[in-house]
Amino acid sequence: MKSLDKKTGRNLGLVIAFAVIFFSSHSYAGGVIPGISGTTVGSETTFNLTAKSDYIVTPDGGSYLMWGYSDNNGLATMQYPGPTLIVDQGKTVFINLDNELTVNTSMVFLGQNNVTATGGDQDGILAREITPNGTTVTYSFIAEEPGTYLYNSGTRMELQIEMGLVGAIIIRPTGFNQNSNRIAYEHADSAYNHEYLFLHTEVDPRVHILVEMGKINEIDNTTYRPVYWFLNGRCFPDTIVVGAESGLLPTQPYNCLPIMHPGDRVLMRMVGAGRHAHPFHPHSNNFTSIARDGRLLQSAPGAGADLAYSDYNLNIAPGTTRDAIFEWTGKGLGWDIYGHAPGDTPEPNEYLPDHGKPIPVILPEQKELTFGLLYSGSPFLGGSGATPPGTGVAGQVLGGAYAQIWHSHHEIEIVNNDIFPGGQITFMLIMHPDVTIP
Amino acid sequence: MIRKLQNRVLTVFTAAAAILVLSATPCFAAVFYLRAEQFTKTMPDDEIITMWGFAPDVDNNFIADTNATVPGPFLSVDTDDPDITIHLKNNLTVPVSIVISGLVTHMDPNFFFDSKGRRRVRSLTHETEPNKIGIYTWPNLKDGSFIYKSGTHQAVQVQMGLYGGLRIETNPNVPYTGVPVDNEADLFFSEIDPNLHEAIAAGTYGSVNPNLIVENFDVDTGTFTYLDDAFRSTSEPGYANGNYIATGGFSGGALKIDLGGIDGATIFDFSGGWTKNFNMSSSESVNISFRYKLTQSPNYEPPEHSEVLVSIDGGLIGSGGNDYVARIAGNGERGPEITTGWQQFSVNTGVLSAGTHTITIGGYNNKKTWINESTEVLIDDVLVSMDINVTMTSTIDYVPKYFLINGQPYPQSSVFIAAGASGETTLLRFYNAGLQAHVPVIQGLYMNIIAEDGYLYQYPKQQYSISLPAGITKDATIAPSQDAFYPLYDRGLNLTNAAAHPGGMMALLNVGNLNFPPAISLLSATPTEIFSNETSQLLVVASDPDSQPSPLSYLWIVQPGSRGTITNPTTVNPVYLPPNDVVGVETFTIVAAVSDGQDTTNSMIDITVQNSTILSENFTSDAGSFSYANNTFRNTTEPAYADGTYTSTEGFAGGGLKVNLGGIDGSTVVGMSGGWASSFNLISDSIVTISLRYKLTQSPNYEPPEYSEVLVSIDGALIGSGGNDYVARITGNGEGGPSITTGWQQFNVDTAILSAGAHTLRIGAYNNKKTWTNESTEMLIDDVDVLAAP
Repeated sequence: MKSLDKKTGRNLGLVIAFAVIFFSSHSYAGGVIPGISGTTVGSETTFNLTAKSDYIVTPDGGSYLMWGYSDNNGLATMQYPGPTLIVDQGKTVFINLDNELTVNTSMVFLGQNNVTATGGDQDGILAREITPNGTTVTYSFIAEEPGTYLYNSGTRMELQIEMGLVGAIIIRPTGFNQNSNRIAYEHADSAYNHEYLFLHTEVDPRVHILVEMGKINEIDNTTYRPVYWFLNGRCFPDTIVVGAESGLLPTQPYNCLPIMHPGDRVLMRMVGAGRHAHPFHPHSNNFTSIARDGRLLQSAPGAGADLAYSDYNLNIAPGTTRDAIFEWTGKGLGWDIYGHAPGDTPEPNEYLPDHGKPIPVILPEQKELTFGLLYSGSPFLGGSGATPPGTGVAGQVLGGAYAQIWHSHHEIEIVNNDIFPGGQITFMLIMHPDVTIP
Repeated sequence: MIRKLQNRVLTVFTAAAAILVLSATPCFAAVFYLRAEQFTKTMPDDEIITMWGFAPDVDNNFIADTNATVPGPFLSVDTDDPDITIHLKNNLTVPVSIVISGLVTHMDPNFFFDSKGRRRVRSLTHETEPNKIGIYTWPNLKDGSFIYKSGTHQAVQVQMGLYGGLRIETNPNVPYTGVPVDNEADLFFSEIDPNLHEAIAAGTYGSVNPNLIVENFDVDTGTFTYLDDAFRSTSEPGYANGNYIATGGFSGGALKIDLGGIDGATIFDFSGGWTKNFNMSSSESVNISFRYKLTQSPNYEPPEHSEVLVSIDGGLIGSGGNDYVARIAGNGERGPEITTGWQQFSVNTGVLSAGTHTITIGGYNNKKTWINESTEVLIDDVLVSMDINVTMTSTIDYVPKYFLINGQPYPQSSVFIAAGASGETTLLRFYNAGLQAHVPVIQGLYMNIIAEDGYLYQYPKQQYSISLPAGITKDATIAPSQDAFYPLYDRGLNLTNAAAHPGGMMALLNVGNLNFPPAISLLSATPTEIFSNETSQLLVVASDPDSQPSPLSYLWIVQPGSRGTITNPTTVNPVYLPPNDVVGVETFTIVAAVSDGQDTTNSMIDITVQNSTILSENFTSDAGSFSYANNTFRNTTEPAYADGTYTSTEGFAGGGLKVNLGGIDGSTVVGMSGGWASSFNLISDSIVTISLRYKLTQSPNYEPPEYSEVLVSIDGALIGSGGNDYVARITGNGEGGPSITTGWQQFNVDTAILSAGAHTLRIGAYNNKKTWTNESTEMLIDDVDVLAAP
């Protein structure tokens, strides 16, 4: 009975986590990546960031010193990862960096060409650096090509990236319109309904403890061995907890919880911000890989994503970015996921060949079922039914959603310092069309 | 068949400091002569690594002419050649071979049977034995980038450095069909785990068993043999005996030694031990451990005692400063039996030479006087092992510490890789012969990745990153629009040399044949805080990081706005002389400019200078920085009998400071003092010279031993002269005597070394006793200077 108690307790935590998502008001529309847009005057967009230290938490009760970026125009809280910088294609981007760390730091922008730097205190190997509390350094580049990119420290990277000085950059293509033309690149092949960020990092706590103890020179980069794996700076189950507006994880404001309706196109923006590769594996359908390192997979300029391919496992190598489109309608299941009778009106985007088809087996009695945590009590999307205590999350708080686990296929990465489940796990919530995506 | 070479021209040219490209002339079979050799490679942190590598044999006679490198020489072959032939001379002590992944050829694997009788492959193709020459041939060439490497015991030999790059192309300007380029550059990735190299060099890699003797005596004596009189030169074989016991050991069987007993004779010195030889393959220190149980019967009288002993080659090894392992002294007639119980003993022998050694474990008894005095020693679980760090039994323990591009970790000489110029297209050939995947990225540039393992992609992949799993080759083109240094580094962040940063897999693509400015690795001024009468030794250490370094020139200047002079300002180590008119403390900036003829790198350093005259007061108009306090010396507590005033007329010249002691009333007062204090700061640890004028005057009527003193202290510690802690003393001359004065005197003294920071100088007077109102002392002070001693 002991183990049952434990399991119930854990499940209760998940129920609460999901409940928090849906009973909280969101400050942004569902399916839009939260980030900052800086201050735009004419053709110039300016961001003001400060590198500083603070602590993050892990679901196992860990608390670790991190270095990260804060948005000086916002709460000025260090956050992990740094603010997602969202800019429009063609803008000249200025990033003013201040430094409240005790070490020199800098920023580099893979995928951006002709980055210039002014101010600062000294030239580093890879970028102009700012000393502790030194002269503001301003990096500038033209956001020439749309896509998903990253930024990170360019100083003693093996340490400073590990310490958290990473973040994503999204360059919106010309013609993008949040209300009427959601595209990732300048082509309809990249159109989407919802976009979600999956920024992969990892943490070896020994590094952070040595830094905290002032023993920075005792760190041996060649013995690096992470035990925490993050999506958007959070380990599961924090990945699915509500985002910044909850205030629950003030230095980890970004959750990672994709939500869709059947038939929606979901843009997965994936960023390898850490130092290890993470094969990311969505359940329930393949995705279509459309871009790599901020470049559409195309045979020729303007051809669209004609070299896109279907896969179920996307290796997010360190420093790289990938974009993929995920879709799901229930196609191929062979039965009507809505439980329609043949004459019922189809739902939007329903896979019509299965309309009205019954489940082709005789369903067992409720008492003969083992209930999974996220089973709504009904096999039908949007349905619910009686479920034992501690289960039925989908029915109780998710509007009868289908919850599909998405996770690192390198499955040692789905723990938090040896405790399962954790790490790089999240869920794709497929919602009934009648349920508004918050 | 081996083709003759007289028609071939083998050209060797240097592509970079550590890279050789061997190119066979087109349209003939490409023939290369390589030697496999051991050499050492020094890492930036001065770690010396034993490597195995391929050396190009320039004149084809296998007499060493060119050193082996890691990676081996880049081989360049024309696709139209009918085949590649490599003549391999093996100068290593193990068999080696050469294979090329991606080129199809006939291979003759070399098999062996392992300890379990399984047939296993040791070499993917035929081996070349040490000191032999092997020939390897690949027909059917195709365009592409390939890695040649050892095909024998690859887990070890590839990691040891037996690898290199091979480019096959018909036309260097069209390396792949439809891919025109202007330039090519090789980027060869590999790693070094120094533990593996150390183990190979020491011959301890792999199945090295550090254990020399492992016996638990559960079955038999384990070939230990018993010996009477094994220790302490005893010669009483009749009173020592050894037996194997199958039970009664710590666990199961054990070795047993019985001493004494037998009869009623009084016997001195008897011993017995179990002994066994072991053989050392190399000179190592040895760990010995065993269990023992020493039991002494009743009735031994002190100082009779029994011991457990262990010896190596006859030399006893004890513990705790003794030459025995354990000792029990007798407790007298009819005392109880005494036992140590089972104990574990461990000891390190120190270094034993290679060869055969003998261990003997047993017991000794110095005397017994009766039949009922006997001793038993039990021995169990003997482990004798070499104290060696078996760090690498296989590459499963692989932890690389050095990460190389073209054989060099940052910041060694291959940091700069020539990669064409703006407006040109350059082919980058990536090879990964390491055991780990790497993800090089180029900062500020996209690549078109065009081929993998020698196969052209149907469409190029436009990326700034390139995933390089172990063993792969990939080719990419870049077409930069600007001349610049483009950083290329492993985004897997293998960017240290062991724990030192920066380092590892980082390089700069030099687009436009740019000159890289000199790098200043050290700029120092010793010391950086000086007094104006001191100098500071300057030093700059710089190098030209370009692949072909230029001689450097130096110019030191005093930054405009700063002051001072530099002697020999065009040397690496001139001397800075500060100005002599420094006001208080000033900081001056010195600039070192290092030029390679094209670019100049400037670096600045600050020197803080304090005027060597730290304090100088002549009290012309006031007390200056001095202030007066009572009871400044000798723990006096009589403030009513001390006073200090400024005088504008009574100084040596003009004003001065005055201290008055005593007088006031008819009381007898013991211990009075007062002094003037001023604080000063020292910029660095220094001796200071204090100089001042004083005049001490004692009124009549002091009776000896009443006396008055002039005192000077630094931070409360008195500084006197002539071995005294006072500067001057006047002793009373009795009732009715005349007034006594020192007159104006000059006092100079050097302090001990004072630490940098704040100090307090006190100057004043002390009077040990006065007995009447007419006994008073006056002290005058003038012209106080504190100077830093140079």
